Amino acid sequence: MTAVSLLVLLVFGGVVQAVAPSAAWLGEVRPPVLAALVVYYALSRDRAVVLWVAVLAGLVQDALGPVPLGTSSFGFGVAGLLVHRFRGEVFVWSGLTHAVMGALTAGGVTLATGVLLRATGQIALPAARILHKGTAALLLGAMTAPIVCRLAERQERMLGLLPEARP
Amino acid sequence: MRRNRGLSGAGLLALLLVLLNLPGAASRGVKAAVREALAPLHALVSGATLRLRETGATLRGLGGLVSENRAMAEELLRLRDETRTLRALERENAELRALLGFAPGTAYGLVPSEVIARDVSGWWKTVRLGVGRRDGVRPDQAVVTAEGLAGRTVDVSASTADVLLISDPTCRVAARLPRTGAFGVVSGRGVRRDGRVICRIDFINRNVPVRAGDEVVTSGLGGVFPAGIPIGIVEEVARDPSGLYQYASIRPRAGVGLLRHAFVIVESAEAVEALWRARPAGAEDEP
Repeated sequence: MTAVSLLVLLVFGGVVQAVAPSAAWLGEVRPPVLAALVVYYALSRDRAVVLWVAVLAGLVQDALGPVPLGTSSFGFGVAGLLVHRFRGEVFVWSGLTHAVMGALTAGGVTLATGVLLRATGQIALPAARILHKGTAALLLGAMTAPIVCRLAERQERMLGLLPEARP
Repeated sequence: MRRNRGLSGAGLLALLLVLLNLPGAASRGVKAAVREALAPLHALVSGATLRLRETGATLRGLGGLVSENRAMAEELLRLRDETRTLRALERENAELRALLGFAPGTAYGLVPSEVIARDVSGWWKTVRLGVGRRDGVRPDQAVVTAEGLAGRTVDVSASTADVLLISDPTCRVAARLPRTGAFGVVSGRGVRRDGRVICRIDFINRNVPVRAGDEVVTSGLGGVFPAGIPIGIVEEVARDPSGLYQYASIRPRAGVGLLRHAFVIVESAEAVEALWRARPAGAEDEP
């Protein structure tokens, strides 16, 4: 059931992220729904599940754009493990935690991907534009993650994958 | 338990390494499979969004419908007249080409499509169309709107095609300025803060008098874009710091930032055949 739930959330994330509008002042970055899902699983599951989610979410993200396959999986993997590492020190179900972790994950992965793509000559953007996109991803991550985490949590509680009431 | 986790981690690491090192064809295959799987949902969601937006626009613009209808009727009459003239010119052109023994120009067809998704990464200016190989679409085909050039197809799966827009710095188009006959290369310069797309035409001969308002069209050189497709209008002209050539910023005609519908230009087999049949007798034997 966990796998089905995960699949539904990944498909939802991939579709929403691809059709969501973007704004020029936000560097044309789209709401990082897939990164938010990685944050949700990093805060609520064990390390192996986090890694699986990171690889699959990255695969969906890379497949829906020209980014080389595996780039986002690697970024999500590292970010997911870091979030998982600190989950004992934060309020796992707090919206503020989701916002902060979402911002750091989305912003960090976007910046790292931009630097990597620029270094390998796949994009021709100045460093300032990459920084702009990273900042925009940080902001959008902070706004998207609490919503996505809340929806994912509600779905999992409905399916009986989490206890009905929060601990 | 610890051993199982270690094995799982090692398996994932191996999977990641495989993904990162997949050969080009395999990588394209994996991407195409994921796109194909999500394409119906993308089409459904973007279609529903479009309908909602159109309904909203209709409700907002009900008052202006009569005057809009009148303007469109006038436009239709003007276009019909223009089509009649163009058909006569096309016939005359074909006859003259046949008399001179010119090889027929390639004939093209248009495949219409809706934009079903955009690049999720935000690093490139791409959109995904809901047409693919089964509609005759192939990589490196020109994509246009009613206003002008929008971009070219890059990755094509069975029912989707990714289009690299002309606003992307990596999309380069061989272009011409019809007023002066000068050639150049158009590339994207991204989107301004106010949402306006900017492009630039480089490598224009420094002695050609280019000015604001000049039309820029595709030159047909390079083989991807047919000649004569409007690209945009020159806004500002400047001399390259090296002094060897001049460049100009241009405003694209096609609204690529808000693209909803587009046409892929495909070579039309029927039209090509018809043109070859119209060649003068004996032309087939020529080398």
